[in-house]
Parts: sequence; structure tokens; C-alpha cells
Amino acid sequence: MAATGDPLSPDEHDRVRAVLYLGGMRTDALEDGVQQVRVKLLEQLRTRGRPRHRGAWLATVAGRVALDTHRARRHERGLAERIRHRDPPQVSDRGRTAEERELALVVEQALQSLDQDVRRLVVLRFYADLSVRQIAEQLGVPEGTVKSRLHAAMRSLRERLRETEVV
Amino acid sequence: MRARRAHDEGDAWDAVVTGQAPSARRLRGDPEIRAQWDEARQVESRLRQGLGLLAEEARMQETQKTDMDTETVHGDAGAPAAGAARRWRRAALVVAAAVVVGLGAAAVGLQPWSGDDGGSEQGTASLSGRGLLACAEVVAQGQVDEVEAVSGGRVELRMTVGEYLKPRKDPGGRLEVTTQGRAELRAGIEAAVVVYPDRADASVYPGEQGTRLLSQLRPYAAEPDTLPRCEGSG
Repeated sequence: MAATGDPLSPDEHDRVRAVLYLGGMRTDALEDGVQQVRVKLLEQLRTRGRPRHRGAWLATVAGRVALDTHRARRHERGLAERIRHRDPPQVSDRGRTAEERELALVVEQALQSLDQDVRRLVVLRFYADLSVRQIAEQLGVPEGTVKSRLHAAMRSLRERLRETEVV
Repeated sequence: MRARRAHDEGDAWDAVVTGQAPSARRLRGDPEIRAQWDEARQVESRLRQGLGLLAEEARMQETQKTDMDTETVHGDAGAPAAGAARRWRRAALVVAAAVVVGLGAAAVGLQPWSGDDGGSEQGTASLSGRGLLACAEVVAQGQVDEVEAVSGGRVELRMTVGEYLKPRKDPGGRLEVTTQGRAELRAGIEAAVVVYPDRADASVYPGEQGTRLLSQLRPYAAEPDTLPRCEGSG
């Protein structure tokens, strides 16, 4: 995007924003989150050059920013209060069927029930579509760890989806 | 038996996590494994759909906000970081609006997240209407007749084509494409599809989004000789 000077293309911007949102960031903080990712990308480009897998890199950094923000917020206030302050799931009616709205709400609630670290893995794997190996490489953890956490997360999500009869 | 069941179920979830389906022979040979695999895949599919819907929420909220910002652009003196982000975003949106298909393309994953090593510069070229048409193998719109789930949360769409922009063909033919499953993809809807020769899945633009895309691309399709050479698609 040389014309605008933004290192993020519009598509990348939207996807970074989505990963931040799915990672639990408040909607009013999303643009600041995108800005943090943008700054990290510029630093990366300046000091180490282009990431080998740019999409995976951006998704992972966005996941980390969401996690850091969550930790900072948790530090500021108790967990119960944090949950109260978390944006209520917002699923607009525009162009959505009742089934879609329900599904989005259930998935949002299921995500909120996960540990933040695990939530990040779920978003990277099933939204950003990174492979287990890519996630492990980007986060610097063993593949087995990523796999076992995702495995447990999927079982937990299944229970949630079953409870609400989504599956 | 209990231990075996737990083991098999674990296999099904491992397969979903790694994206590697159990062998067809194994699925055929053991109905229990087949059932577990189907269930795990269904959970994965619903999860992906839900994540996609939530991601769209994030984008729609941004679009609404940007629209409001644009209307009140004069005198906007937000916080420095947020203000800079909005300005960048606004400029990017201007470019995207100029090429029209930009946001719609982003919405349906014109440039996949993973496996890409392309910079945004490359993306800019491929997001232009002419570029899109030049690089696509098929651009068509029609009615979705059937949607069938296939592996990895993907679906196969079978549709009756009402209009082909590329290749130039008479309407009425049948078209089958695979794409990432989303709740909005249902039998009976109108959708536009774009198939690229180097991508396994088609980009699908349901409803109004597809109609807008086609109306933007139609003038270019009428003058195929003026299309640029497709670059950067590999």
C-alpha cells in the first residue's frame, strides 16, 4: 500500500482487527490494537526484514497484543468486573438470520469461557487458519503443546455448543 | 472398550486440530470412528462459521465508524495514535473504494491469511477490478442450488449460472466450486463466484455483495483486450 503509506493492506487491517476482536479486545480499543500491530510490523521490517510468512506473523502478533491487553486489564481490575466491562456480544441484525445471530453469540460465549492463551490458539487455528506447526513456530512452543491445548479446547467448545443445541 | 472409545474419539479431535482427516478406509471400516469424526467436523464447522460471523461484526463496526468519521472529517482531533490509525484507515478505504471490490474481497478472503508471503503491494494490484478479472479463471453469478459440507469446514456449492463474465459463455450452465463454509451460504441464494487457477477454493460473494461485484466488473469484461497481464498470482 505504498500509495497510502500504511504497511497494512485493507485486507490485512480487517483481519488483524478481527483477530484482536476474537481475542477479546473491546471494540473501542481495536484501532489502538491495530496500531500496535502496525508499529510492530514497521519495527520488524526495519530491523529484521519481511516476515517469512507475513499472514501468520500478523495473526500471531495480533493475538499477542490481544492477550497482553487482556492481562493488563485483568491487572487493573478483578475478573468479575472485567467480565462485566467486556463488551456484551454484539451481533447486528443486518443481513443475519436468527440462526446466525445465535451461532455468533454462542461461539462468543464459548470463547469467553476459555483461558485467554487457549482462546488465542483457537483463533489462530480456526480463524486465521494457521497450521499447528505454524502456530508452534510463531509462538516458540512445542507442536505437541499446541495440539494438546487445542484438543482440550475443542472438547470444551463441543460441550458448550451441545448445551446450546448448536450441534 | 471404554479405553478404545476414548482413544478413537481423541483421534477424531486430533484430526480436526491438525486438519488431517482419517483415511477413507478407516472411516468406512468403523462406524463409531465415522460418527466421532462427523461430530468433530461439525463442531469445527460451526466454530469456524461463528468466528467468521464475529469477525464480520468487527469489520462492520469499523465500517460504520469510518462512515461516521468521513462525514465529520473536519475538526477531527482524536488521540494521536487513534487519529493516525483512522487517517491511515480512511486513506486505505479511499483506495479500496476506488477499486470497489476491495472490502468485499477482504470479506470473503480474497487473499488468504496463511501460506502467503506476499506483501500488500502485491495485493493492491490483485485487488483492482481489472486485476481481479485478469487473474480469475471464472467470474460468474447465479443461483446456489445445493450446498454440501466437505472436509475441513469447507462446502461445495452447486449453482446454476445466470451470467458469466469470464469466460464469456451463455448463461444457464452448472458450476460447482468449493469454498470455506459460512452460515450465509445456503441453497436458494444468489451469489457471485470468482475462481483463481492457483487456489483450491473459490471466493464467493453472496447476495448484494455479489451483485455489486459483478456490476463493477462488467464494464471491464466487455473489453477483455484492455485487461492487464495477470501478475503476482504465484
